[in-house]
Amino acid sequence: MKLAVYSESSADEAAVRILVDGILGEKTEVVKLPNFETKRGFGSVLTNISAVLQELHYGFEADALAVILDSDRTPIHRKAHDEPGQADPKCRLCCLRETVKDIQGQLTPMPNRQPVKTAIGLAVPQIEAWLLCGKDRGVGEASWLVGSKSRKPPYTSGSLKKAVYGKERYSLAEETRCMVAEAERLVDRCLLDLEQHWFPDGFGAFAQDIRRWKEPPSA
Amino acid sequence: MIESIEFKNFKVLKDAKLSLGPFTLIVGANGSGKSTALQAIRMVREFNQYSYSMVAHVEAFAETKPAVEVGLQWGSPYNLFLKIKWESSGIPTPTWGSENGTPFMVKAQAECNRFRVYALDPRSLPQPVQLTPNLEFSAEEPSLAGFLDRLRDSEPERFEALNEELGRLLPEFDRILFETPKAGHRSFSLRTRNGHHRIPAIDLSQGTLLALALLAIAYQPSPPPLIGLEEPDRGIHPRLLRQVRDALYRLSYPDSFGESREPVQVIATTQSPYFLDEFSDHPEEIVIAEKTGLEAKFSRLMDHPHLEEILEGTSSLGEVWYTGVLGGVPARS
Repeated sequence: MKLAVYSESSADEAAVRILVDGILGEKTEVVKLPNFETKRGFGSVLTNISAVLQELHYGFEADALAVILDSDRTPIHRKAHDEPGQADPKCRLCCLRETVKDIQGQLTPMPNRQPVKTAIGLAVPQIEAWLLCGKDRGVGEASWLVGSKSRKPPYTSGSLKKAVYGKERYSLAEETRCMVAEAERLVDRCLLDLEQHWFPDGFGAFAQDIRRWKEPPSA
Repeated sequence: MIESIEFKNFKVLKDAKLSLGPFTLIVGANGSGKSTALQAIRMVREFNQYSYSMVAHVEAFAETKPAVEVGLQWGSPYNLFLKIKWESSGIPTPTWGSENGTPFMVKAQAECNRFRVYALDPRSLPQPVQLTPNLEFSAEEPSLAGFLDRLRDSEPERFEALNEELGRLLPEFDRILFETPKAGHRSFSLRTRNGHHRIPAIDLSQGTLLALALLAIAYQPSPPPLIGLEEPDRGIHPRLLRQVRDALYRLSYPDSFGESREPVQVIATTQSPYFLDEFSDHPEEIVIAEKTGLEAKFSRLMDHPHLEEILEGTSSLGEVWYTGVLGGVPARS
């Protein structure tokens, strides 16, 4: 399977590929396209996802696209949002799902080709939290939700990054190395189920999307 | 470390204070005092060369001719201040002061002489140069060939590290090579990763030369205690700005980058929302330069009363700044 990743940086991309391979149970191929980077926040993801999907759809290069969003301080995704008509417009995952569905509905079907499969994950509040799974039991969607309700988040972006990278400032090369090492730890130590336990909705939804890629296409 | 610089009637900075940290990024529109602040730093070591008329605010010069002042305040352990004052007649006078006597004054004076402000000109960077024993990347006559050649011979491990960083910043190249165009002179080329072709410096793009010059500044073995940089993002693709930030952080936070030298205080300017995005994790490092009428002022981004709420939205820091919500954008005509 040829996989494209739309992520915040090249450091994220390497880690996301490892996670996808771990969930899928097979090694995906890197598509020969420029790496897509969101970088500039959720607003730019919404603006640019159309171009990314069109490139993948008409370019015949990729079978699947994985997108990871950071929730930052926005509402986290809940299973209830998956029920018909219950999507939360303030939830970034719901919002992007709707956008992707609309865009893919407008693409001209290509003969002998399935639409590009997609998986969207919502890292709460950012991907470094996922990478601490198995190391810090205080990091998870439940603790974030409780803290956010009381306006006292249990951790900050800075503290999560320091926990993963060991310092406040680090080079892109170091960031990539740390993220890859942590993603490999999660896969090699079979911690993806635990990840889903601590991040049931943001990571759980991502894993569920990916597992569906292996299901036969509906008639 | 210098904690702040205060300006009175200094060009567009009629009454302004610039708070500084180990690393400070000043963002603002044209004419908002960014370059003027860097000019003040450059003048600290050569203030005698500037007359009152060269430094006075346009209104001050036209009317009552009040004194022009630039005051630098050092933090602990120095706890010093230096005030340079220009009266409308006479020569500029420096005044040093200290809460703890003067044990650090000589040291601070020596450091002032080493302050450097770089405004890189891509036209001079590729030129062949006569070799000198001096291992400093000069701010006045920056010569990449001369500096890189000396670095290769005197600090080979550091030169190798610079080569590796070059490969990350500009992946199409893998090595710096040298030529001797005539006796005692050096020029340089970059070798392409694919095919190992030599591209002479004179044929490199301006962006490539500026990126290499930034690495030269960041990899100096004994860098100045304070470096000012005019728009280090200039000419460099937005996707490579993370590496530009890393090079600047290497100077300011050497421990975090495996360096064992003293930290360099860095003051950089920008007008790029993309470059600003690279500092969204450290808003305490950002200063907004805002011009109103004939006067510019500085304010710390962290002091913006609604910063947290503003950044909770869907836009990046750079996009938010570009809207004008945070200030530091051109005035409407």
